[in-house]
Amino acid sequence: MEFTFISAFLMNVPILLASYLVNLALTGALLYRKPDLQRAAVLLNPYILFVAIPATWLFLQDLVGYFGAFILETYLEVTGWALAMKHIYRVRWGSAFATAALTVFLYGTFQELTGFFLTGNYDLTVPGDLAAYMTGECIGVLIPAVFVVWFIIRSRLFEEYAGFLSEDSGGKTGKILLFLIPAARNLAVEISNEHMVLNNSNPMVSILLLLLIYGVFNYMFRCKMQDRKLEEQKLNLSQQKLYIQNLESVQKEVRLFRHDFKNMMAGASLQARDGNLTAVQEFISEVTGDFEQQVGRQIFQISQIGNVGLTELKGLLILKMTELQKKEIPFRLEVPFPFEHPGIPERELCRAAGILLDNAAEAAELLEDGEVTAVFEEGEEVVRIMIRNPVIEEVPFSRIWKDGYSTKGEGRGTGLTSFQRIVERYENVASFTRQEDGYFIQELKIMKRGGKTYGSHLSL
Amino acid sequence: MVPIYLCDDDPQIRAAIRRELEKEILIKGYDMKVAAACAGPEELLEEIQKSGRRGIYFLDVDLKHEQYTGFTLGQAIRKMDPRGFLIYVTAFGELAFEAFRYQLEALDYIVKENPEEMFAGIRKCLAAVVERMQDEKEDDRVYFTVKFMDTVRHIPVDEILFFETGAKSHRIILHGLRERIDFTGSIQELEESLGRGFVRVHRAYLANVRQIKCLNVKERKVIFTNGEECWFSRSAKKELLRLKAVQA
Repeated sequence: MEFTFISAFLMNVPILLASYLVNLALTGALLYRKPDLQRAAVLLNPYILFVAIPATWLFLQDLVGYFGAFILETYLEVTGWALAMKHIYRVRWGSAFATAALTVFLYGTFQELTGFFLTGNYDLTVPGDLAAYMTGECIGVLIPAVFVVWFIIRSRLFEEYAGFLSEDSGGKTGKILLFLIPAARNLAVEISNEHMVLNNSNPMVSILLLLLIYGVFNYMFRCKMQDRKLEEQKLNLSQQKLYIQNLESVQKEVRLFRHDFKNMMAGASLQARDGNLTAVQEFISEVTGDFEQQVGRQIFQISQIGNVGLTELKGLLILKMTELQKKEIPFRLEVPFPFEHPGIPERELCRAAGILLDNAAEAAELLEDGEVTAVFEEGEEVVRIMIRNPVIEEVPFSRIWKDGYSTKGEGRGTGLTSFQRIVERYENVASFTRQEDGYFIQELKIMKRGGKTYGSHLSL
Repeated sequence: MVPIYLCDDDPQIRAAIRRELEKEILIKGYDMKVAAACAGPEELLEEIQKSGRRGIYFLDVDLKHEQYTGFTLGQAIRKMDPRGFLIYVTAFGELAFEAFRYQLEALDYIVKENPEEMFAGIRKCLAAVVERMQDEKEDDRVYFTVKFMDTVRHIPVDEILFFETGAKSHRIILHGLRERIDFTGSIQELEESLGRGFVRVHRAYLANVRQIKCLNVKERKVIFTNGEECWFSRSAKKELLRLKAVQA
């Protein structure tokens, strides 16, 4: 049978449908997110047209066997899927292209598995070969895909992958490498086939390459994870040290207080015997006041820190607390309830909170009676973080968000820009910054569950 | 008549606060009345339910109650009376009050350790309530409301400079004179609801006409009263020039 453009195109449709499904499932597993199925349905047709038209043309020109065409087709798929997933999963461009390259690479490897059952090239003009080819391309690929999706989820590879994507520095090289992987596979197959076109496939080479890449990436991830664990342990140790120091100072104060207390008690009991009630009353309020002053405040801060159930955040808060103590800026931290589930990755939360705290500290340093107040509160549905510092002058809202703005001159203050980047990354996060009643107030709100979160309207 | 509610399980404290309140209301001639002084939260909530008016609440922080703490009682009251004034009474000077203020918009807290200080605190709170209610009465500006989960912010429309769409879809940044909010929303919907005072000067910007100081036609920039800038598109130029002419 002869192929016309229409029939070749129609043949490509189910194949691309299968590739779309495989890509969708793999991306979902890698990002560990549910796709926006409505968007996925809308984008299916454009995706098929985008890839199928050039592919059909290449096929009819009998160019499929050529390496250049082979690469072109692969990257057409990568681009098509990157564009689609950008909208389906709402990710950044870099992540979209890297992930698309990875899923297309995996998909290509699945396609190659049919090579195990082949002795020669398909002749698509023969109905039997065509049927076998279509079965392999449309249904065969789904089986390994299901297995790989299961594997990614079971071995929690998506966690490592998320770490890989979220890295700001150094992540770029990794993403570019990932983007080149499909080309590497094409090249490896091409070379080992000694330029002979065997359905463009060589399953052994593909599988070996897959294993190699998996090994390398896994090794990289593991190394990084170990570093992170070490760092965490160090943090934990320093945290405990600070904690103990704090407790020791409380103990010292209590001991001192006990000493004073005994003396004062003796005086008061004399006055009570004389019937001097006013003096006794004064004594009581004095003692309670002193106790609050000396010990109560510290106990309070320690108990607030105790409510933070996240190691990294706890470390950050203790660190900032000691930094502010050194600068003699009063710091008031309130964590009224256990704070354990922030709704965004802990690292991101720490970065955001760190930026806000640094800003507040920087501003407080300039004032004579500067102070910093921080509230961390986890509600049932919303996580709220508020950082506040007094200000005297009008805050220049037009400038503080510009890169490099700082009250301390140049080269600092890239903070708010990175802060904004973090906020924008998550749809369930909103930030409120304002000047009110002599304070500069920065708030971060994170919604823990899905659903419509927002609305705005005019009112009188 | 603004109703005042008390909740404290210690009858002596309750009586003392009540006496002070009534004395102060009489002396200053406030339009207020102690509506109920309750020992427990349920009783109090029942009373509030009956009145259904905006009230002033003096609440004990450490309620000896199975179901309610001072904080959750505050939340329950907020549900019935979103604009009421919450004042907390506590035995300890150290209270996580910022969290109370922050989430419940509590007005203040009073320490009951020393009676004289406690009474002074009560008087101060009443004065603050009166002042705030006076301010609200005089305020007839139009407000723009941003809602994110349980957070609601009202921003006077004439203090908004412009809205910007963020790098990602459905991200909106509100640029205000003293405020900036980064939230999820749609600029289309904003444009429709804000009406004629706001002009879509660019695909990514919706500007408050009254806050525009001048146009930099060469660089195609809108310059706002506080010095902030945003781009304007070719298609918006005509409309902007016309509006500026009308204003001038």
